[in-house]
Amino acid sequence: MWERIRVLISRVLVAVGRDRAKDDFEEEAAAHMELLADRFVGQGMTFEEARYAARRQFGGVSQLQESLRDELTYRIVDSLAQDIAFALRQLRAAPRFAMVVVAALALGIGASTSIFSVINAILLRPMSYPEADRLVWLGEVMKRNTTDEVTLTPNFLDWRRRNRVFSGMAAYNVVPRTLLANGEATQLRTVKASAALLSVLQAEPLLGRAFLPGEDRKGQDQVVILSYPLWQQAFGGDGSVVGRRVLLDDGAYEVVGILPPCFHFPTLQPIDLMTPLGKNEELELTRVDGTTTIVRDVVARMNQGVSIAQARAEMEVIEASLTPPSFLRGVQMAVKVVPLHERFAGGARFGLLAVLCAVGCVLLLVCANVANLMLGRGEARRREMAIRGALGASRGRITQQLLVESSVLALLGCGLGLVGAFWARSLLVSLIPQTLPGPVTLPLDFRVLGFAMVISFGSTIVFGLGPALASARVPAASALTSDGRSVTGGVRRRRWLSALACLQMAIAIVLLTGGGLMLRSFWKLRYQDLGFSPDRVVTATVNLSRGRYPSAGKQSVFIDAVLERLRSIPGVEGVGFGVLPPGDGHATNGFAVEGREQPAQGRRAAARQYSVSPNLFRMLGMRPRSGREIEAYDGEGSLPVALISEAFARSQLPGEDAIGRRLRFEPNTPWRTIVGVVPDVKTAGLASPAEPTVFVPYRQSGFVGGDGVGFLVRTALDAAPLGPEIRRQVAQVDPQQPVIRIEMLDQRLSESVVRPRLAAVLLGGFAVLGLVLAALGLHSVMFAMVRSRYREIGIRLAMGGLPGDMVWLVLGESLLVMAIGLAIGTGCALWLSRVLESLWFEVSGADPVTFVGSAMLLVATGLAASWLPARQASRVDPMEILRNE
Amino acid sequence: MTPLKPEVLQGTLDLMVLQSLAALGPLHGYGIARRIEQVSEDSLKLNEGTVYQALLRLQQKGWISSDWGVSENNRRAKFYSVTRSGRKQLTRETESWHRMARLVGKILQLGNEG
Repeated sequence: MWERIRVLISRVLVAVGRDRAKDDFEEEAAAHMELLADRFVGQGMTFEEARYAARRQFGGVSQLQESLRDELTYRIVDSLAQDIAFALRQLRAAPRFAMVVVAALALGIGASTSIFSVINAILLRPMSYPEADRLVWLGEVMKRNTTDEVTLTPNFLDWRRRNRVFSGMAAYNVVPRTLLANGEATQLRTVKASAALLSVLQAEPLLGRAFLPGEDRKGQDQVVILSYPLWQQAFGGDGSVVGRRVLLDDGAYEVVGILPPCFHFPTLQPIDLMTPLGKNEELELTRVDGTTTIVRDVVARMNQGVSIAQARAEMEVIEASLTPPSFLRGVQMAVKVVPLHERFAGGARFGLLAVLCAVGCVLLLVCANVANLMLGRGEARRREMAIRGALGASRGRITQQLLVESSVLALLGCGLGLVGAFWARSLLVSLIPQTLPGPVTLPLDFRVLGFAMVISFGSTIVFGLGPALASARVPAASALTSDGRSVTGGVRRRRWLSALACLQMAIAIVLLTGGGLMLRSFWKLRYQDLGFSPDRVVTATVNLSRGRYPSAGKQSVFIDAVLERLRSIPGVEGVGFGVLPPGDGHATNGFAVEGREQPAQGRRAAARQYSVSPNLFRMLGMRPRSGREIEAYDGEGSLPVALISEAFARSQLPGEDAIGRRLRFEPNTPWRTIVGVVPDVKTAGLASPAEPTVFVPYRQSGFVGGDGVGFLVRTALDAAPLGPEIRRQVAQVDPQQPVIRIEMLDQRLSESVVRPRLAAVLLGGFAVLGLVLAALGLHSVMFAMVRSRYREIGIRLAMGGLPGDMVWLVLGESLLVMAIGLAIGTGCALWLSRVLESLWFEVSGADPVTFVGSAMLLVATGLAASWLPARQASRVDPMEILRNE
Repeated sequence: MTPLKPEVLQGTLDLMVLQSLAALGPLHGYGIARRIEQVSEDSLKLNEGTVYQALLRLQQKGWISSDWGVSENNRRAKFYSVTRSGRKQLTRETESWHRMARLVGKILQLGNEG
């Protein structure tokens, strides 16, 4: 055994420095033969005879060298080096072929991998907790109620105490708060969470510690854990911040920990910091009206071996045994248990499938292109293969050489593709707007990269070997003589190539229509008619903290003062306070309309509630459908009034005159009289329909804080310098009340659709990629077709045909290919777009504009790609052809 | 002596080369060929170049080593010498040959008697 290893090592070493061993032997042999010759001379032979005899006695040197070589080293390495050199020479001799193949591979691999990685990481965002499939989300629903799914805190507490299927359960609420640091106020998205949240998610803090159970009680909860990005941005990554206090708008908190950089909360938006949920558990459990709070999200980790069905069953039993608080008596509650990633997938399942389809299409195109080119080249080298065979090359040797050639090509293409993937990735990252949540450094998805490379490598090799192997079986004689005289073979091959081109056209159309539909959806989403004109409106988001503005009176004073000042800014046409479209989240406020029965167990509808300034709608350019707007005289002392949106009127008071009817939100609050019906304003994002909304004057409202409210200022002049001015005016009223964000209403609307825009752009990128690859394919096929029909074209021209006719010959063929491909592709595209219907916004899956436009684009590109071959056909010299016969 | 069959030849040639080097000390290829010619009483008709194949095999297995030197006719030649593991191998092979010879002899004897 030891000897075998020695032999192996020796052979490998020699393979690396083989020439020396060869020279060595030559010298040895020469010396040996000289000695032999001397001996023969000593025996009486002449010099010549002696030399001859010596050579004979020694044996054939070159033969010996060959067999020594076999022993000395691994033959394959030898021939491999030869083959590689030859392959590189061949590629240099056919640069266009090499470049097109390498370009197709690189484009396909690089672009598809990087686009997929971006989409996967940013738009689809798979959950990345340890054993994430054990995590579930829980929520309560009113039976047969389809709006919000939140959980009553006492129920959550009971769930936690009584279940036997979860190893841990935690609840959390997303709360907007303001951080006051270095004299600046920054708005943050924060979470109030149970102390157990980190352990349920199996996450460890980077620095410091998690919350203690004792800190998760009202009064003991003045501790905070910072997220990594916030720690870097606001505190410069300074480790000593642990133990210090930070000031939020609702108090001072001591920093006890920092989260690691890759940690994400199970929420739709990124979270900046976390404080304890801080509920008063004893009080909650008494379930007295007014003490019961809610939590929005509950997450739990199932025990090993527990299935989600079992967990669901257990929780249903527990839920059925709970006593609801008095104001919900008679309402049946149910518990909902879903896997966590489904809850926060953000519509991912279809999206992922769609994107994977796109990647698959692109790779198919790449394979088709490669097949096309390799097959064409194989055909052109039939003579060469025949000659090799005739000269004694074994099939194995030829196969090895072709394998090496294909591998060299594939390696070049894959290598370039890898480089391209990284480069494209960094390009894409720089295009992504910063406001999107997502990993800081975008990882390339190596599964897709590996898959793409394997496919490309495989197809290059398969198609490179195929035709040559087939032609190796052809008797050398026939291949060596006539070249192309076999008409039948030529036609059949052309049909294959045309079929390939049709396939490519079909795939390209699918990608184009997909991308087109996505772009149109996005366009409709962004530029839909919102009922108001957002031009030259500046919004200023404020977040009135409950601590400093505890009563309606104080809030009104503040808002009044700010509005007054804003009105006085030169150039301002109108000011207002209230809802800032487009909003996000869902309506959650339950309400009651006087005179309409509140079904005890039925749908408990919810509506949005906004506190607004007088004449807000006039300022936005809208007019009430009926009744009037809120006026300045609707103040604290006067009749409580409200405006309702059309959606509210439609759902609650259909067919009736809403004016004069009364409604209220909380029970035991005064009834409000409806004085006007206003047009809908989108409050749940641009993609959702407008929700039923109620507007009350801010002077008559309880608390106007929360997300998505602020001041609106319409100006007649350029809006840019307005920002600092607004801040200054607000600061003059209350220096400690920060203006969170100032942005144009236009900008706000744009930012709310950042994700759909990114999706549209990326899918559009796929479409363009597909178009380029398909055009490349068509180009090659047309070129091959022209080349294989050279004789026919020459004869036609010689018989009186015009060059122009030849152009039409080629273009006609390419149009036919495109037509067939279009037909097939459009059919597939229609079917696919019906399957992916949920992705389109207000655009039908069979939108004619998109389909016709894509078809026209494809045909135009295809014709452009066929132009060069067509020109070549027209330039064929008939004399040349005839001479070669 | 009838000429040996080629399959047997490879193994025995290696052995003869190894033995020659062990007995006579460092030799070059020509010297080894002469020694074999002498020992086999000129009945081994092989091309002398095949000695180099045997030398390569032995060298790859580490049983002999080589060094450049000067031959009788003042040319550069490679001299081969047996290594320690080569000597061990020689002993092993010799023993195994003897064992086989005894065994075959016994069988033949039995055959003769029976």
